[in-house]
Amino acid sequence: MAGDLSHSSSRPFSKSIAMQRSHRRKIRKDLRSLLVGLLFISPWIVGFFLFLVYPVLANFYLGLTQYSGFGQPQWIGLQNYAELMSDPLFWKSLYNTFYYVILAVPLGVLVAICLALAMNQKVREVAVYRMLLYLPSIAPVFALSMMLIWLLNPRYGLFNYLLGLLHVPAINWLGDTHWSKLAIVLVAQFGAGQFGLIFLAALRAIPSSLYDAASLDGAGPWRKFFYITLPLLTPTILYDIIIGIGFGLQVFAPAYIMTDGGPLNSTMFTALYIYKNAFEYSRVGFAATVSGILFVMNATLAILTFWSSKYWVNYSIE
Amino acid sequence: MNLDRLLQRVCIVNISPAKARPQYSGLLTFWQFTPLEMKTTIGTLVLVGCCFWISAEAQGQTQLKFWLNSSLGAHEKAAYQKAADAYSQKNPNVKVNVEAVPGSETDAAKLMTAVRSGVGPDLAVLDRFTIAQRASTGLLSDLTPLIKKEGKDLSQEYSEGPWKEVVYQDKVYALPTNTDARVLFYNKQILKAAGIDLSEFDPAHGPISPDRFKEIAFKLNQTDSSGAYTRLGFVPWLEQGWGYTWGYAFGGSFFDSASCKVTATDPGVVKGYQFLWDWAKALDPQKARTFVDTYWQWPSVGTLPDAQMPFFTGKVAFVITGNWIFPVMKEVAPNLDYGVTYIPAPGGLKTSWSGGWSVVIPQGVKNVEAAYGFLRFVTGEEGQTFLAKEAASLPTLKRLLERKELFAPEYEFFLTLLPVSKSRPPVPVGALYWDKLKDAEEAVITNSQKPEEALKMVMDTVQPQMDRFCK
Repeated sequence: MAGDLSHSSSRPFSKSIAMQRSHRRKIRKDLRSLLVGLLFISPWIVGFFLFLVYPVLANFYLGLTQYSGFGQPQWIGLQNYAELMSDPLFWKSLYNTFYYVILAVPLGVLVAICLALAMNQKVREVAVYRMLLYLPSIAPVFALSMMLIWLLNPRYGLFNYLLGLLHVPAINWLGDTHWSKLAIVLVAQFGAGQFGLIFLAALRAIPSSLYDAASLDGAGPWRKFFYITLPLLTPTILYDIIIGIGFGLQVFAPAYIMTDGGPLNSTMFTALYIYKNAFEYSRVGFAATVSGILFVMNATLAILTFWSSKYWVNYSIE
Repeated sequence: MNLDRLLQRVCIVNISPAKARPQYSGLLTFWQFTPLEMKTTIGTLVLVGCCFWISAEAQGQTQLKFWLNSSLGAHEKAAYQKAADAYSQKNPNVKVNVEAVPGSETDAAKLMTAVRSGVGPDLAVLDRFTIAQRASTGLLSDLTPLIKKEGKDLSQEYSEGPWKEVVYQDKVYALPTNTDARVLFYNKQILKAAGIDLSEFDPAHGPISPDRFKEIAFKLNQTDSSGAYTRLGFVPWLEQGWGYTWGYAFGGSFFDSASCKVTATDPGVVKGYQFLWDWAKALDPQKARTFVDTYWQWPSVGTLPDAQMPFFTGKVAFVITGNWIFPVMKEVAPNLDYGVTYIPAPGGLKTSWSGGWSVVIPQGVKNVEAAYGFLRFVTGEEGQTFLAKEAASLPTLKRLLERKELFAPEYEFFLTLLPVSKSRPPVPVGALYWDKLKDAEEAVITNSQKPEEALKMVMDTVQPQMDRFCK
């Protein structure tokens, strides 16, 4: 009996030991897999920490110092922040940057959707149209800016010539404070082909059965666009807006090449302000302070946009 | 040897047909080479190493990297290249490699980042008025010990103005190459056609007064049917008509070294800016701006082909520019009938200001001695002769200024100006001061800010930065 008892009680006991062992073996195997996995992606992990996390943290540290780029940074606490708050040019640069973002990002989405719709037409030579519409977006920003300086010439530029045909008076695009930021927004639209391609992919992913059903119900092209196409493009629009805000807050090259921040600092964007302080005035510490602020703004706007997406982004067809 | 096997060794994974997925086989397998594999790998590595060693040795030369600033004129770049070639020819054991890198008078981003990351050049050309600033940040090597070792008093060999610009806190951080002077160029053909007596611009009569000059220049303005300017007699802020030009012309001073204060609100400077304000107002600021943006397209340096410069195309009758224009003019406007005279100034004040370049040895250069050898050559007699001949540069070496055969007759007037010509203050906030004076100029020529107000803003921005360097 006792033997029976001991026998009957030892079975579940040994079973539990076996289970524990196998569990431990599984954990060990999982750990090993994790380790191997981590080892395989280690080039990326090392890169992420070395080239992203470390520079961001170092930037916040440098923002609290006086540093020329050489020698040892000198700790000055929040002095850079205090100076920044009282610098009218910083506030002007922020105003210019947000002006640009508010205008360029929605316009960019609109132009990209239009390009995608044009690229999605069912015509024989669509491949040629796609190439032509995409081509400007791969032009180097330097070449594009140089070309636009000529196209935007107040007297002999193509833009003013076309406007002149409509009896619009000549505009000094790059020399008038009222138009200079718009000119930079215009340059950005030449790059809309990149997002146009992403929108095209999204358009092609929409099942044609939806359009067929809508046609049967008597829906016209506008109704189809607003009730089928646009809602199903919202995930792509969200992506475009988040990336667009990121790029927009860091707008630099067209202003650096075309206007150098002028006229009257009307195109002095925050990134250009950072660049000038760091590399022209040798104030790397101060520039790091501004970069930190721009980083926080960028992250906050991205998070807010993402948070708002639950109210307007449509992920499913139902 | 099986290639698959070697691949497996190197990639540290086992790829066998039996197993669909590559299996990680641990770092140890890397060392489990067969003798043949081991010999092949080591042999390859040794061969590659030898190739590198042999190619470096075969040249047997010290390689020097010499960076030119992209905002240098084509003729200046050619002159530096010739100097580098001549030096390499004279010293077969040294090869000077000239590279033009992005940058401007005030923008040293490329140089700063390259030096900071240890891949900077051995020598670089920098605008002289920024030397104090770059030296104060620690970008440049102190040349004083090298000069002392040489046992020469170089301060006596160079002109006083350029020499002051390369010295910061009693240490020498660069050696000057060339200098220049700014004057008023006028188009004789346009003036004659308008019936203006050219003798008024004869340098023998001294500088013309600003009021009389304005009277003449405005007679030359032309508009089209829409009222837009198609020609202007003179645009005071075009080309070299900077704040410094007019501040000095009206007897102003930009820095007081005794009190370590920037003096942007000096009465002379304010008068200079007032001159710009009045001129812009008389032209209508917006119309003048459209004219300039049509024919000049500043600030995009380089967007305008030389041949289309407004002075060469007759879009302006007068312009303030410098001696560097001569080689350009010979190429693109050889038949232009022009004259040169003093910058208009009240009370007959003969004035001009000079800038120029210098060569530096950045921090962290390994072969300082070799770099210094070329530095002395390019900033010495030979180098400066190339610059004078190729790029119409004025030398900074006193003894070269006496060699009259170096200069064409058109240089004569510029040489006479050098003794009275001023320099921008060599302060460690030079680039900031330049940019802020430019901002003030823009505010004034658009009539959006009164000169006193705009210049006070310059003081308020620059002085706190300057205070960090004042003892």
